[in-house]
Amino acid sequence: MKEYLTPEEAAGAYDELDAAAWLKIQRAGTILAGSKEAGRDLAQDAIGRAIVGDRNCPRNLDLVVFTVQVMKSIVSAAAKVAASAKKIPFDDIRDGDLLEAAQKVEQRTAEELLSDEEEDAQFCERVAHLKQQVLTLFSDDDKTRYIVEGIMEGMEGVALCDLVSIDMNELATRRRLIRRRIGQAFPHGWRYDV
Amino acid sequence: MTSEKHREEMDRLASALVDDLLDTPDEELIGELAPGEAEAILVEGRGILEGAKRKAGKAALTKARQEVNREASARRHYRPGFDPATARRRLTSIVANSSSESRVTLAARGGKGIPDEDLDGLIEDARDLGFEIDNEPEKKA
Repeated sequence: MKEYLTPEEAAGAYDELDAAAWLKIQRAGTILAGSKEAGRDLAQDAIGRAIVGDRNCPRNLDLVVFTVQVMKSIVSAAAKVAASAKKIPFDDIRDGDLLEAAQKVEQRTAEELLSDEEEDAQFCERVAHLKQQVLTLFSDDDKTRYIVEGIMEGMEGVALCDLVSIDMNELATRRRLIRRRIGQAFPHGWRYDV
Repeated sequence: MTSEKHREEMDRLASALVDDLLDTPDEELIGELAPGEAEAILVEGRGILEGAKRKAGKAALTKARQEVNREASARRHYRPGFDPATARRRLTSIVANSSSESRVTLAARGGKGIPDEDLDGLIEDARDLGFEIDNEPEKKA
């Protein structure tokens, strides 16, 4: 037997998913894509790749976990393209002349550069505001707020436990609290790039 | 702080929330829902799956159509006795003897990377542009 599900097997396995599995996929989509609608599109895209065989689910991996991993990789790839598009005009990327596009970036006028900076500053302000909104949700609980800040800084597991002197069990409990509070505060996602 | 740094922070938090979601037992998640919400989620999930299947079907159709077009194009350019290796040599020779700047790239590639079905057309284009075309037989003896 092959190591991976065939596209037909994957399609059949998706047919069998229950409400809890779809809940995980849909909520993960909302969190990763920033809104319910975008999350739905993201889930559809990831599942589409699995059932045409562009991405193959290992047999020993849970289908929901696999789907969410594909969703994460799509979001990550899109973020990289968006970062490049910010530097190189999209039309030039589409037309395929990257050298010319790169030259255009070099030749940008001071006015255009200033406009980029203003746009960047506005985006920065929006995300900083969002971050503050998230932290405010835990203003009554310093330990949990430090954990949220630690996660934002890239800390994980033991490092987070050491940060606020708790064990792994308590960390798991506090992480659930974080997920629930943020989920209640942003039920439709926290889109900040529109 | 730059916008990229802020975004990275929020992305890390999003990733952690998703990991926690995956680690949470199904019963606990379903228990957090309002009455009737689980059924609505199941219906929406099936809608997502149907949408994915439709899109996948369209993508497969497009791919099949492209394949058919590619094969039709190859058939159009097929002539009995046509030898791609000879045609490639002729094209490389034409370009190497030209004064165009483009010859450097093409000659260096030895015509590699050009699909067989395009070779004949390129040689004809060169003839139309006034290049001397040798009379080397197309099929090796």
